[in-house]
Amino acid sequence: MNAPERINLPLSEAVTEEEIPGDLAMWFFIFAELAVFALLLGGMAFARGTWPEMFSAGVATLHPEAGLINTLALLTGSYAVARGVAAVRERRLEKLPVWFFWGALSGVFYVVVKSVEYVQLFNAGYNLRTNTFYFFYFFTTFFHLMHVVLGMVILLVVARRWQRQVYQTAETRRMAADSAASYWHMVDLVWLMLFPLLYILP
Amino acid sequence: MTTKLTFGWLSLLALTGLGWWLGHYTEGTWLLWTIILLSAIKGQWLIDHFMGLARGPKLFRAIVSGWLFLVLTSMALFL
Repeated sequence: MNAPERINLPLSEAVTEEEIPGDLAMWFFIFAELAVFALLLGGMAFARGTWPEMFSAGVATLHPEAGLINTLALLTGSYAVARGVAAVRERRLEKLPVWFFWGALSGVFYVVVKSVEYVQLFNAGYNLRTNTFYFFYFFTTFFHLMHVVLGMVILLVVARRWQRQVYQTAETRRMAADSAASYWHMVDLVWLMLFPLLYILP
Repeated sequence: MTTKLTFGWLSLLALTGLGWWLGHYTEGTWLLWTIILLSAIKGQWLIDHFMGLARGPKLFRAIVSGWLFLVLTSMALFL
């Protein structure tokens, strides 16, 4: 594997103040996703306040350790991705694919744990139609899961293209790394809000 | 920068563990506010340092932080 060429720029040119971290189009996409998740999270909080007994009973059927493990995994993934972006800023370009790979691996871990949770709940007879709690639980967490999968794909595609030296200029490299990282962090941010609603608050 | 990221990551893990432990082994009216506060700290740190919006456009930081505030407020209002 050939390492991409080093950027011979002073750090002040590689990172400028108030620069958008990634592509503007990616950020519009992120804002749209956050708007959808705000509706889902707000709806879930409202439903939980309206039917507290139903939600308490539903939360009791979930595995709190699975929620904790998944949160730790996604935070670790975000750390790995942030380290990849930091490596680019420090002009250690060859490090980015490795860090992005670790970020994607945390996503795989998350998907496996979530799938086990789904299987256990389905086997216990719970599904989207059981009641309002399970509708919100399955709908929102599966929607989020799809975002995790998309985030993993984005990280791996950027890492692969990086290795193939598709990104030839410092600007395209920075844009690709920051865009992928921003999307991944958005997915993590949403989970940080889902986690207390489903796995912490009684 | 690397040290800051590592310290932040370890702090996020610790705060997550603390919130989880409080939620499962303690009770009281203060619990909801404590969990919301912990979530706010974790979310804002992620926005500022992992997303990099602390040094990004102020408008972008305001939008994402506003989203965080909106979600946490809805939790505080409805729960």
